[in-house]
Amino acid sequence: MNFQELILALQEFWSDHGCLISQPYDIETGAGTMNPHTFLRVLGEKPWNVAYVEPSRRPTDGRYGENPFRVYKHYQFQVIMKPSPNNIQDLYIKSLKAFGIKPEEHDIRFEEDNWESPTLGAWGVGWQVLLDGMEISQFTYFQQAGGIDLKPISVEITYGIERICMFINGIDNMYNLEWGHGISYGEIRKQDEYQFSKYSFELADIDLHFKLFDLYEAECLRILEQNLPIAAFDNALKCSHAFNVLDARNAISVTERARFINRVRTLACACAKSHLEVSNG
Amino acid sequence: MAEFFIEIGCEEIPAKMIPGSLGEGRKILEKFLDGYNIHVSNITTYASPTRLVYHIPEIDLKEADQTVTIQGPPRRICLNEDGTPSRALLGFMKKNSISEDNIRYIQGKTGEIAAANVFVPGKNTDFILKEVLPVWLKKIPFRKNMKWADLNIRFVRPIRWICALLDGNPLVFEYAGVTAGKTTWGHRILGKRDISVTCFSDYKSRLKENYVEIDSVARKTVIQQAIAAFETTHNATVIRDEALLDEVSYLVETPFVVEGSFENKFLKIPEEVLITSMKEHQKYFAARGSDGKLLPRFLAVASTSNDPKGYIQLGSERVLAARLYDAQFFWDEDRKKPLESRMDKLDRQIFQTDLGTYGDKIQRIQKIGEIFNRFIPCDAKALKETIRLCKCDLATDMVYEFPELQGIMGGLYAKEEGKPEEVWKGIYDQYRPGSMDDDLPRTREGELTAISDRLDTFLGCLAVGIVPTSSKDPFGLRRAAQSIIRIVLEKNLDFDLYQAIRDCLPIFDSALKIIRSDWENQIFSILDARLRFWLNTRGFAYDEIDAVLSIHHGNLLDTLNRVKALRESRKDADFLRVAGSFKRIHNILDAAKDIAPDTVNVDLFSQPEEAALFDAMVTLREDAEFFTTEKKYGSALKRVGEIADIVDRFFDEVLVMDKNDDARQNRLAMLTSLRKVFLTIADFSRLVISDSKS
Repeated sequence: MNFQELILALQEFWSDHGCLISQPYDIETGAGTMNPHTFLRVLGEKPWNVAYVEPSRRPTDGRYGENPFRVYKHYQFQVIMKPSPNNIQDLYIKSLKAFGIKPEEHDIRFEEDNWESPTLGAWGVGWQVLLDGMEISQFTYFQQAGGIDLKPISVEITYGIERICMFINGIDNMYNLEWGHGISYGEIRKQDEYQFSKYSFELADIDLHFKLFDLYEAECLRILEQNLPIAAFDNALKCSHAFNVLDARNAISVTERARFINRVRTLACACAKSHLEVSNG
Repeated sequence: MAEFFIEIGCEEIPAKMIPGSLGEGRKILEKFLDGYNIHVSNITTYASPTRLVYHIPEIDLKEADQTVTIQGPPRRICLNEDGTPSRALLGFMKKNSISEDNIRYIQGKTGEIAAANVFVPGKNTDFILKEVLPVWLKKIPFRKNMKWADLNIRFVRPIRWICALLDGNPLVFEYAGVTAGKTTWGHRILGKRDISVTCFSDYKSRLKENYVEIDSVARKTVIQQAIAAFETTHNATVIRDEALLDEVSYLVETPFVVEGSFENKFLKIPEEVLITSMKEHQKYFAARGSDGKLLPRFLAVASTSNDPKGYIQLGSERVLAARLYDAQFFWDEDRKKPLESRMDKLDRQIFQTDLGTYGDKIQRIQKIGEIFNRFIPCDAKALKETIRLCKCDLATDMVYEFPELQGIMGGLYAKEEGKPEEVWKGIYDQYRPGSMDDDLPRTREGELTAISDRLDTFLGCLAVGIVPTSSKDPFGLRRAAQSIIRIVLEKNLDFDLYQAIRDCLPIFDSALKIIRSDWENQIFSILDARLRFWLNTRGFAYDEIDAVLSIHHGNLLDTLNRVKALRESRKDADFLRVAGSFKRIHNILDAAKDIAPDTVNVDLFSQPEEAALFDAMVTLREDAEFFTTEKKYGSALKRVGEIADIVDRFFDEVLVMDKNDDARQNRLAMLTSLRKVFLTIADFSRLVISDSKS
């Protein structure tokens, strides 16, 4: 099963189990959680079941396309179910069958791994799922998002699809995966990896990104005053990405780091609060 | 007598939380059941990642019936003038469903009152349990709880089933959206669901058939047997690690041990790194060959019954290979740059907001090291170099990836760079001892670096107001103090630690945020408490420790010698007699209102016992001074015992609190002097002496 077949299989599986198949967000995110279809929709009481692929940019993880396991941008397959169904672990294990894993032939374990995103004011309790010792998914019961206690609780499953694809194909180098139709992951992604690594580590304009951070922050706050949290949140995401680029450029000292994270969190929390008010009102 | 057990079925509970919470849960259940009039035998506990199990082999099915005397209104208001029951009495009768025939009068606290014996039928145990268990479930403590779905309940992980049987009958109650009953779940993948069970032994064996071993000891035994078999096959020794074994046994429903190997080329990576990769990240057991060298093999424990296609072995090997590939990369990359080139990064890395960067910390450690070096000689140049480089590895890729290798990596890189042995070993050992039974630094330079670094954290954090509490000690201040004490005592460092620390205090003048005297009190009271703890683990009794700590100065070896001597002297009956009198001397002196003169006037003696005690005291003073200077505390205490008869006779014959002012004050002066002499050795009046001995 190649990369795109794996995505299709997961989409079909979760669609069959009641999830909307949504699309990646069109602003840089570091994880599927930052997509408003997770971050804003886990707030409030309305049931919500969704699945989507999220291209996740993490500038500090860039390795110029040279490391077989680590990349600037990877793809997450994200599932959110609210409220968390009672049989969610069973569903998850069943989903592994969708891409050919026979659970009884493997060691599948749920090991404690609590998730926290300081920039989103969000945390949850859960596990990393290990398949024969390899982490293939994060499984989290969200407890808080944007500093708000959640009720009902959503469950988030994040599949690391490159890893899973490597696992099921017995391939030790991400770039050698087949994306589809005989075309490799490397052909699609390796140049991007080199260029974005070079850009994030060496070339990104530091002053510009500090300015961008300030500008987007101000814009976010301005739009929040107009009670348009969804639009405001885009600017918070932009801040987060600018911060990640600055971090990769080593432009932020340890103390400043905590301050920047706090600034993004303040925006995210304000967006969450406003979103709840707007959608309830 | 019947049997009761309950199984709380959950999604996977974090392995490290299970043993503690399981035990706490038992204590709370015991306490709850104590409140009822039923006999309950011991509660035994079992657990696997997905269940906590409490088994009571013997429990009454019903509380015993009781006849209870209930009290009513005072007799004087019980009857109307015509002798009929008053409203008060009628109310009492109605409330308790009793007739007038049952009423009798008994003596109450303030006079006669109405009373009646009533029969209280015992409650059925199933009724009690249904009442108790939901409350108990709420109370089982976990380090971190969560909510799920739309429930208002918190538990460590979502509860998915509850199996509860009393005398073979299901105990039906609701909790967390689950109805308790007689069914259990097997292994998530290999086992069945909704398995009906009839009793505890049936439950255990049905679960075994369904790939769950609920007894962690049995799971551990299986793992240990596999380890032993591996050792025989490969003529190897698996590196023993109880904590890892415990953790792994709570990560599996049923253990299956998989053997794996990795490529020989990775053996060029230092074994510290290899072992950490296996243990910390993958929870694998590493092994050494007969030559003591690490083997390219490992053992992994899977939560299954078999590896039919070899996938588990293959997967484990691949994951480890990826980790070792990373480790190899870091090892190669880090060595391209010397340790000291990372110094500037430390100047940017914050240690603690108020205490500045790691660069600042190193400067302080240097000063502390210099001061300590005045007390404990070592190669000053090597010490300086060790401290200068000791934190550089924090800026390496390897330590970023494997934080638990801090110090060790610095030492290894320094060794690779050809730094002298004192230096690289000092860096390597700087975090030793990590715990009460961890190894100590191997070199004097390492000891001083370890002490200076700990002391900087300890003094600095306290100075800026970070105080350790029983639940929170993020900078590990208590552990830091404990490590300092261990190094000093177990490496026989004969110096005044507290004086050395006092000499270091000015280093923190600019950081100090709290009142200086509070700071100093905290420092020495935490150190005293840790010293007390250490002595206690060595088997010294509390009163022996108290007796010495109340007069100790700060040379810990000296303190230890005094405690040792005191423990020995306890066997000396004469000494114990004096210790008892010493207590009396304290009491007399503390109660006396007179201010005793500084010197004793022998001309005022009116009784031979006074003169005898005085002479004995003078000789003892000289001897005690001699022996304490020589640090022969045993001999000093033996001499104390030798004046027992003289002391006893004094107290038998002489009235200290004489009416005559001069005589009284002179006697008080003598006792004051005697107390002073005693206190040069230890305040042994604090010894708790049992009556039979004294």
